[in-house]
Amino acid sequence: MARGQAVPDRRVDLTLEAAFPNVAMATRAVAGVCALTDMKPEHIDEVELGLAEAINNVVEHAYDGREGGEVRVSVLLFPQVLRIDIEDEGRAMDPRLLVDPQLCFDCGDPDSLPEGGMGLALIRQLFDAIAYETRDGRNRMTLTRWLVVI
Amino acid sequence: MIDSEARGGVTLARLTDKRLDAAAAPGFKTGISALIEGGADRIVLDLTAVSFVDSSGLGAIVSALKQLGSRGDLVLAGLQPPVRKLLQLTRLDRVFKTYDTAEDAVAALG
Repeated sequence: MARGQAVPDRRVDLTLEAAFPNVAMATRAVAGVCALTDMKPEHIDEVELGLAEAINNVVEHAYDGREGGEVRVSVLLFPQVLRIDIEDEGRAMDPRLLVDPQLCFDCGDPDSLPEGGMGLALIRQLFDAIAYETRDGRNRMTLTRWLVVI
Repeated sequence: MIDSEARGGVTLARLTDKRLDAAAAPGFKTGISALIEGGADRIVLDLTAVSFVDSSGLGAIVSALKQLGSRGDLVLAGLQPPVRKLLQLTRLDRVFKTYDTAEDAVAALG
């Protein structure tokens, strides 16, 4: 362990097959972990939504909806921070997509309303930091959120 | 799963499952689309039972709104706090009319 690197107090790893019906089990489990902290219920709801969006993206884009892919979700509780790592071995996301994702539509023009593509913009709003890296064929999105109000 | 009933000229469509997420969105889309094809044009979507909606579920609701186009209206009722939050975060709260209860919504559309 590199000197100065923070060590989580507690950690749990979940592995699920990449399929939409499995996403709720992972997000509900993580909500349960969050409930062990002092997080407010509405903030736990936000983590649950952001994580669902992140895993949905893996199922839909990294694995293109194919069966058999694996998603690993690791929840790490640090003294002041919640970190969630989402790993897959599917197609890597273009990290440029994470730069300022926008929700653009015109209220007066129904045709412009979004039916998809909202996930990354939501994740951006629901976590304090997002990182994404691909190494040795493995993609990892890291979502971090303060547990305390700063 | 959608339970629907006619209330005068208004269709009250009640979601019976707790989640409208990526797993449930295709089934919802099929059901609501059938209602619209079957002539429903003033629709109250009662989300009282729904504690979680993700962007796929919301996208399916948007798709119903688009299918109706200018010939009808689709409003939302009974939003739980996480669902209301999703609408705010996506700014679609500026697009959908919402009511506290299904009865309020039916009265407003009727």
